[in-house]
Amino acid sequence: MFGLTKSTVEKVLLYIICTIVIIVVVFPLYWLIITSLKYDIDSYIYPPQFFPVNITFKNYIDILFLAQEGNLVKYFLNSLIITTSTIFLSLLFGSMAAYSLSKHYLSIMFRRMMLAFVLVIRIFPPITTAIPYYIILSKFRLVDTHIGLIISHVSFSLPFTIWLMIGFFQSLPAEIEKAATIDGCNFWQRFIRIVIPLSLPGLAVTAIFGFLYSWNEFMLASILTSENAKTLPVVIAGFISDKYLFWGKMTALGVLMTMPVIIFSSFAQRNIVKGLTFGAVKE
Amino acid sequence: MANLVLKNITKKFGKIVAVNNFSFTVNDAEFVTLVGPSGCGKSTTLNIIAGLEDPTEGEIYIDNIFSNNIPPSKRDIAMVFQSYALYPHMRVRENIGFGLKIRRFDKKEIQKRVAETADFLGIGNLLDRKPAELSGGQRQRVALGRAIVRKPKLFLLDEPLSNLDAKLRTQMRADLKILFSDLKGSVVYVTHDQLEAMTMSDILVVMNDGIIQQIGSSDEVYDHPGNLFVAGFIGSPIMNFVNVKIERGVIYSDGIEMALTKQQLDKIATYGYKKEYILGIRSENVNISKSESKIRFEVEVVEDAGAEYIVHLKNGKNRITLISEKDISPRRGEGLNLQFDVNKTHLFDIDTEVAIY
Repeated sequence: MFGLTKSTVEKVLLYIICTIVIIVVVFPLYWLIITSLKYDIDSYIYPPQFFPVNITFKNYIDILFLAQEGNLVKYFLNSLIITTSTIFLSLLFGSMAAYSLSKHYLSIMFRRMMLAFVLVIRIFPPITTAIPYYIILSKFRLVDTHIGLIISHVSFSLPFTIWLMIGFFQSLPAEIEKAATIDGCNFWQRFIRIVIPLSLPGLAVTAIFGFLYSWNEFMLASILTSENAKTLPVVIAGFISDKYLFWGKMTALGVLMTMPVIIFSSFAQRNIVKGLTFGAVKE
Repeated sequence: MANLVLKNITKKFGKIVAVNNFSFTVNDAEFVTLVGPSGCGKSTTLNIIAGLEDPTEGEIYIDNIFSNNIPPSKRDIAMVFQSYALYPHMRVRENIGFGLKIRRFDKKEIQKRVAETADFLGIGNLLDRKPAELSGGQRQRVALGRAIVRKPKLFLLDEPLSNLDAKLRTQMRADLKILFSDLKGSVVYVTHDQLEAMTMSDILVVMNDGIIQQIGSSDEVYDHPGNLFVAGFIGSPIMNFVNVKIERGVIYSDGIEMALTKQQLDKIATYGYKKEYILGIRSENVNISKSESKIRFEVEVVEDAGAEYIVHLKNGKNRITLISEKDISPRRGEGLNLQFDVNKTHLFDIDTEVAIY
């Protein structure tokens, strides 16, 4: 019919659907970038400019060098310190917890209970735990400190880390660990010398998710910090004032904030070498 | 090298009994094979010896030392796994030397021993490769290298050849035999392949359902199987079994009438008479007779095995196979006169399946 085979129609449909999905996903990012390159006045034009006519880097220069909102370098460093610390601590404690929960060292009942318990913090909406966090941290004088925000971020990213890493640990061939045991490894040697190196792809994936969570996290950061430990998402939100909306500066900072995410993701992805365990065990 | 004694080992997983009241001894420099079908408890037994699993009951002595409470790393044993279980992130050199490194051997000593072992196994040129860059046979040798480099008291091998192709397996079978006889190592070897067990071992431990069926040399197990399971499991093609009755010293069944020897009859008398028995005879002990015989079967199918024919025969309910030279060519449907080598027959209790003679 019409000279079209069924598979051609299917292919065309597939392309159309994919294009729609890509537009939905990528368009906001595109809009972010072009808005950051427009003069603020052009952002209010109706009908909107889908392709910016007057391109400017003024917004970038403003936020980088002439910022009235304070020292952006400081906030960038805050975000960096809090995110890297969160990733490090989540991976450190998360992988150890996941390993002990993935193997038969503990009773099955205890492990199941722990796994359910670990998820509890994820069940509540973050706002309900943010307030107790604020009260606890203020008692310890940790509000608006790096440590305070790191603790709260770690507690939120740990459950995810544990669940993700359990899957990786359980997929490791049991015989490799048995071989290590017979070769003389104790529990820690086995974990550090065998299990962790073989789980690097898993750790990389987990690190990406941890990075995305902590780097982008807004709500806890906005409640638990005010100035000293303020992170970039809170700064961006600050461009929305009751007098004026600085679309240009906001989106320029948004673009800058997205850069490390893209760089980090592509870097971590290089570590996700498929089949790292290939060759260990004949399947 | 050392000896190993297992005394009344039982292992239960919940209600399932994987190994039941298991006792055997491996003497110094002896090659003992645990053989049996999948799930018979042989790998569990090996894990118990290694200390990777604790027995529910029973005692383990390695080198005359009570070892139940000694952790695997302190038992001074080495194990080779079916999957090789090489460390994929380490080079061959590190894989072989890892056990020594963990045991804090001197760096120079590690280098020396790794080089010696690699030369011994003919993998000296592979030391800087990773496991993924090796063939199955090479990985197998690395796994062996990892075991022998430590000069342990006892080698445990869990189906080490079953992932290799048929040709390489035959080659490695011979190589392993030479290797462990050179090393004078005490070996516990696990396999489900009866041919591997027969060809390699000093002693076979035939297992089924977690229970030892028979312990003996290849000849003992092959020529004098203790029960129907051992008779059927050891040997290829599988031993022929037919249900028979015995009257006045003569065995009767469909197509079979054969007088027993006095010795055999005495054994039956000592054992006690039964209504029915199971007669077992191996294919190579069934011969085609050129003269009339009281054993007559019809040819069902002829398999050409290259050097010989494997002839499948049938009479009534009875089905047997024989191995014939290629100078005669039996045809399908042809009636054959047969001779059983009466001295090579086996008789089993039909109820308990125990060998009567």
